[in-house]
Amino acid sequence: MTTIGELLQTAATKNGISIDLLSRLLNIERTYLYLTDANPSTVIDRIRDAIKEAAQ
Amino acid sequence: MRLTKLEMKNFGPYKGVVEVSFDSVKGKNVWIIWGSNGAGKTHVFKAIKWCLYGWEPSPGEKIRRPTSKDAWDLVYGTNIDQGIPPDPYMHVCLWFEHQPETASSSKQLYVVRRLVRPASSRPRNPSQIDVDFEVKINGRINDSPKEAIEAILPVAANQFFMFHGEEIRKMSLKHGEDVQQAIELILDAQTFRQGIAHLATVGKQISRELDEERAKAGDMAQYLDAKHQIEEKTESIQKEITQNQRELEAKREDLENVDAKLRSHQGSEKLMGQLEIQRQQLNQVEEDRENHLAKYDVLISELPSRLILPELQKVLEKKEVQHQRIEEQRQRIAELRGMQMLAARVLKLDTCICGNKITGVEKTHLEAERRHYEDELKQSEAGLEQEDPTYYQVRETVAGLSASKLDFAQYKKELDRINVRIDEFRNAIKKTEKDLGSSDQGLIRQLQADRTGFQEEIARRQERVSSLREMFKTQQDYMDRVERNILRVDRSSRVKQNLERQFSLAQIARSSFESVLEPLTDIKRKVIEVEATRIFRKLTNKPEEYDRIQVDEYYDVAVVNKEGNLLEREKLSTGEREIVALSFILGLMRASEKEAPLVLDTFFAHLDDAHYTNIVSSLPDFAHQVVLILTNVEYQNLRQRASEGFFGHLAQVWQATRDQEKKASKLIGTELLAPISKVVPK
Repeated sequence: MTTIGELLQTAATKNGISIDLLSRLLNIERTYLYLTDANPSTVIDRIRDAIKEAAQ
Repeated sequence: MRLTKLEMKNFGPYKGVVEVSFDSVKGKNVWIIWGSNGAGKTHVFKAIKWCLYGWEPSPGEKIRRPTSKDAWDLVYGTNIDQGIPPDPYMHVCLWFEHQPETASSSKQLYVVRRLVRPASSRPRNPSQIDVDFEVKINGRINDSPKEAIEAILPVAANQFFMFHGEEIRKMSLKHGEDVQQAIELILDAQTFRQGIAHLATVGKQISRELDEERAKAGDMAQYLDAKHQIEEKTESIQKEITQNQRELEAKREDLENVDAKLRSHQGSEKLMGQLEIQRQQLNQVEEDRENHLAKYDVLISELPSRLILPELQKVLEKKEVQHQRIEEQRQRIAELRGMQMLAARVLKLDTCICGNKITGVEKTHLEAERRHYEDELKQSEAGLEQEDPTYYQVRETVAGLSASKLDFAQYKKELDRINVRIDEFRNAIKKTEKDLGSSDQGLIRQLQADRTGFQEEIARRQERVSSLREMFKTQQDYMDRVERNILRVDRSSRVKQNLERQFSLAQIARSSFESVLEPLTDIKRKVIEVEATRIFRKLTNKPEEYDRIQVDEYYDVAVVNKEGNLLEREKLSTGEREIVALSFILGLMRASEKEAPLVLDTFFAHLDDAHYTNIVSSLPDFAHQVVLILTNVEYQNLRQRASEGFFGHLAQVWQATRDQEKKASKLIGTELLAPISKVVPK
């Protein structure tokens, strides 16, 4: 496992949150904020969608 | 991730299609592209960057959207002649082999960026071209090409792991804020930092929605209380309806029984009906007789006046004569008054109405006439008799008695007729009563009274049931409304719970990102320090003097000597600074957790012999794939200085050349290098 993966897993276990959600949020940030010049509101929408889905 | 092939068409100085293969043989991981200045070797490096990112970012440059201008400047022909490309169909294709950390088999990636269907067959400016970008993974088109590249290359790899010598020289000086951000991108620290900010925004958004939902929803306890009250009321109404209906049924049964009994005494009932009618008729006739008897009193009261009528008529005749005389006197007085007034008015005139002047004689005569009328008027008024006050009373009495028709015979006859009818009805009643037994009469009267009572009771109950049903319906309407509200509040409650859960997740995710950020930065910085130091110690020409590389929290790099003193980079030589920068970049690559090809373009210009030798001998170990782009001078140096071990890692050498007549460059694959001393000149 990578360093980031390990740190995320530790944070997920400590805070009682799914590692999948954290990984998904991280990927959204990586993909939509830095690799492209996507509108920040798109990133917010994607994050909100991920959280909504996780809250179901 | 390893680059396996590059194909360019009409790219930069290359006219038509040019292919560069990076096929690997085991143990060989170094490729060289060399050529003289302007031969097109750097365009190989540019082609890789443009294909992946659409533009050519330098270290620290902010990431931006590729533009048509980026592509236009790279199309063959835009830098020569009139700047109009002879063939606008430019493309660059890259083939990669990627071994994912979690998968056993490798993936083949095909990346192409090209100009497609330009608006003009001979485009004259960037606005007339369209650029297409496509990624295939194992032969299948990927819907998210940028994500696919992100998955195999470190974020911002284009800014650090493929660089020109000039860029490394910039990097060898103190970092700026943008460079720090780019480094944090590679390390994902910036990603977490922005993630924290975005999650805070999302948290605020959810919190706002939660507040709105709380404001919209009503009080569930209030609705439930109302529901229970309505239920109780409805139940009470329902009970009363049932009770009334039961009573109604009972009364209907009673009524049916009474009707049945009455039917069984139908004959008697008929007689009862007949008896009733006869009694009503008798009552009517008796009433007529009372009225008729009242007429007798009137006849009697008029009788004395009737007897004195002739006398009254004579009195009236006398009074009429006096009345007539008085009327004549009154008339004469009125005439005299008129004449006197006329004479007085004429006396005031000068001319007559016929226009003739009234003479003095005539006026004297008129004055005499007026006096005469005046005297006569006074005499008449004095002689006017007084009207007899009884005259009008007597006249009316006489007129009334004369009009009266006193007919006692007719009165007697009518009275007799009424009496006969009364007797007839009484006899008929007696007969009917005789026919109808006294017991039957009582029973039927009782039954009829019962029936009337039952009918009234039924009507009353029906009215009550109808009213209760109306009340029941109203309560049901209330209940519908309350239940709708309960559902709404319930739904809202579920929405609220979900929003609360979302808010909690956003907060926890943010807190998790925060808890990752600090150790991540620290760990990564240490990894860079350790790796950069390891590489630096291999490369430096003063290993006995320099101990290690230190990276501070802003990613500023310094050298620490054996005495433990910090040596700022500005105090190092240019070559030393470049060695430090290269060590840092290679350390950064290790910390990035993803493998990327190392592409170095004209990097060796400022290095002394010792540094050069160290780098060349260590290069194959720096990355799993190294592409060196060299000037012809650097290339000759390399052949002279490189060790046998280095040549053992060489996979392929390409030479960039330019045909001045055709104004086009080409790449020629050459034989594998051998040290220059072993090369036999052709």
